[in-house]
Amino acid sequence: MEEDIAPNYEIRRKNFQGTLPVQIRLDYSEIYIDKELPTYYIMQPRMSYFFLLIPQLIEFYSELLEGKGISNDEYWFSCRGEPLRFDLPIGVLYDTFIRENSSHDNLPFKICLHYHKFPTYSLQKGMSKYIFQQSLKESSMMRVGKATAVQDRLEHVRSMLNSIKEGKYDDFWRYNEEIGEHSLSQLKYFPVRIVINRHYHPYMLKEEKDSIKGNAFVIQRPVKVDATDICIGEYLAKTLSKYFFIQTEVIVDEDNIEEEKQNEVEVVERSIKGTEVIVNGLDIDLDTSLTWLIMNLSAQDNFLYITVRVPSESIE
Amino acid sequence: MKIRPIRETESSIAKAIKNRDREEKEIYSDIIKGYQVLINSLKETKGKSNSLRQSLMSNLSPSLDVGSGNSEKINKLNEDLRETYKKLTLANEAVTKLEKENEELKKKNETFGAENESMRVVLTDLKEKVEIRTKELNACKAENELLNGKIKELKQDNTLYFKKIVELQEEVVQKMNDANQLYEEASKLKQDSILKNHDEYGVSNSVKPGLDLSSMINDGYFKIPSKTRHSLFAHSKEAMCLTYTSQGSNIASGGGDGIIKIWDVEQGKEYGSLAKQKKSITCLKFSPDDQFLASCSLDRTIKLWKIQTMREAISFSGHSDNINSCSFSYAAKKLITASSDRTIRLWDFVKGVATKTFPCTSACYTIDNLPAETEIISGHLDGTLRIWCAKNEEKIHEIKDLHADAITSVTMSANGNYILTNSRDHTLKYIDIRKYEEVAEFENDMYINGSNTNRSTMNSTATYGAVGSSHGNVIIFEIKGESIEVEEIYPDYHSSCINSIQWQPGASSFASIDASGSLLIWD
Repeated sequence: MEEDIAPNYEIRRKNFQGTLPVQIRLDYSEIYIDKELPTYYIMQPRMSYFFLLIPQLIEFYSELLEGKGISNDEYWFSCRGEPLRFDLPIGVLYDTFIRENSSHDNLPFKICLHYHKFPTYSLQKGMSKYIFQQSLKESSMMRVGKATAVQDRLEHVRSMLNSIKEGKYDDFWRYNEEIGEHSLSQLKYFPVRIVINRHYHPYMLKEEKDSIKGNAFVIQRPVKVDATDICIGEYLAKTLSKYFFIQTEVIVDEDNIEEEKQNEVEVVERSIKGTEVIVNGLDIDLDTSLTWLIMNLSAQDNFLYITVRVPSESIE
Repeated sequence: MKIRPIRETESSIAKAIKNRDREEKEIYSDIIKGYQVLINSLKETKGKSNSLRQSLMSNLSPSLDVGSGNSEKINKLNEDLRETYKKLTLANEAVTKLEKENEELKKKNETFGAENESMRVVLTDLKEKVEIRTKELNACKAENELLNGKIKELKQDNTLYFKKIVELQEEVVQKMNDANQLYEEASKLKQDSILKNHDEYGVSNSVKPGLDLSSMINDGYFKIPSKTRHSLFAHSKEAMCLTYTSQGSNIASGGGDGIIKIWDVEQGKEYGSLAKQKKSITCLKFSPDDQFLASCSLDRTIKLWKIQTMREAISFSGHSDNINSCSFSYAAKKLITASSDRTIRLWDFVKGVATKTFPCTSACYTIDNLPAETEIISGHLDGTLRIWCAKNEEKIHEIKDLHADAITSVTMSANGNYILTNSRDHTLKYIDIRKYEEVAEFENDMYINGSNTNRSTMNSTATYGAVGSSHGNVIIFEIKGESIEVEEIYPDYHSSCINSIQWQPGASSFASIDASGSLLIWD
């Protein structure tokens, strides 16, 4: 290890405070009302969840929704017709579905609120209460091998969610310090989640792909830490070997021809051109230190979400 | 793998973040913030209007109350109306139900009325019938009375006729007797000349009129016969009568097959038999000198047999009905027969005709007499005992209703003072002849008198007697002064009804015969 990597609090803070404009409409195909209801606009932090918005939305649309006896579990969101997963932060969802080529049409993040026909094939009803603490426990397990840090502080979860919603960095990290702050030596596994903009596993057969309905596919593959840092490309090459591969290049040092030292350098290459690797809305180079990323750009549940966007026209 | 140094990454990422924020955040944040502010103000106004409305509502409360009161009243009235409607419907339903029931009851009523009518008609019919019947009844009753009256008259006539019959009978008898007398007188003349020559028909006067039976008392111990010495199969049909010779050495028995057999008592063997008669023998008697045997049979004839020759000597006829019993009247040298034709006849065996006829009102079943005496005792169907004098040929006395039923046998004691009577009422009576009084009576469960000619017997000292029951029981009894007591009963020896028992004269043995034809000699 080169040096003890310390977290960069500036970057962390800036990252945490990233927000997105969200436009929420109701699904008009399923409601019967004579007038058009207003759309709801809100700036939501990237490090937040959509299900936290539901109470506000019910109040905003109270004429339609109030008094109908619809439980909070019936509500779900969709983007471009695809149901949105409750367990991914808003930023990750945006990166996976929308963000492409910095086109200005992407913003605001247009989503639809539904309260009919909950898509039980892809979403789990009623689990939104437990998503955050579940993820915290999982990440804690991967990081240090036990989830006691979370288990002992369950009462903080609600206040953590609150601070997430409001975007309060200090409040959040006051609680998260014990849970999510680790150095490389403390880590057992890297808590990484890769999100691909496909709804099927890359190794699935073509026939199976069509039968599956779903949205962004999440691969969660922990990589064992062996006290050495690796770069994100290497990790991706291990995990998504279909899309990334290591290529060995021989660099000839022109200056030292006599030495005839041929430095073999390994470079990670993308197998499909145009594959993007995004973390929190930032394009990341493939040789960035993974440990640094984990320390600074982790999401609110202490996972590092890497979005891999494969171009849709590519041959699979 | 070569990792990019951290400082580089940090700087590049810091730049990237800036760009990102600029694009995503800064452009939109102001607008959306303003939007949110508008939304909030909208919310506030909504809230205000709601509260204003509520206050308005509460301000208007009096009239609203009234209105509400009115509405309440209206509601109440509506409810009342509804209730009354409900009640009305219920009442209607009840009314319809009752109407239905009413109709049903009416129908039932009609049917009952119809039934009633039919019943009434039936009743009148029956009443008429009853009247008719009562009329008939009355008519019958009247007829009945008439007939009763007629019956009474007829009965009276009957008694008159009966009396007349008796008188006529007596007249007839009288005439017969007269005729006999004339005949006698006429034949006397003949007799004087013939008598000396025809000794065989006469009875030797030298012979004592029988042994003095009363003197034949066994000295010493009197043993009651306990077993059969001989059991003989005497007759193929029933054995009807039995008699001992005066000495007790032979027995003559007559049966339903018409044969008379003479037996030797000691050896128990047949001595001989007399010629077969057509009908059964009813009575047998040896003459006191044992020369002759008289037999009566159902063909209403009496035959006198000479024992020595075993052939018939004389045959008498004249009775108009069964001859039940016979006896030798030695003193008068006559044979006495008792018959069911309600007469007792005296036959003279010299003349061969009946010399005297005693009419009696009832069939006579049994007679007995002592050879030396002139008295004849007869027992009759109506239970009376009649005593006749053979010499004077008239009735001395009669004891009426001695027995409740027919008297079947009469036995005189050897001294002539007592009579043992046997009757169909299953009793034996011991009667004093001199006083005409009953001395003792015998009755026993084992003794049932089954035939009109059942004989009982006494021994020669009149201390013991024997009688046979219709069950086959042989009952031996002791006659002690005032009472007759059972000595022995032998139930198993005879298999059928015992017709006669005779005690052996001068001995302590007797013989009995029964309806199966067997003869038992006891010892």
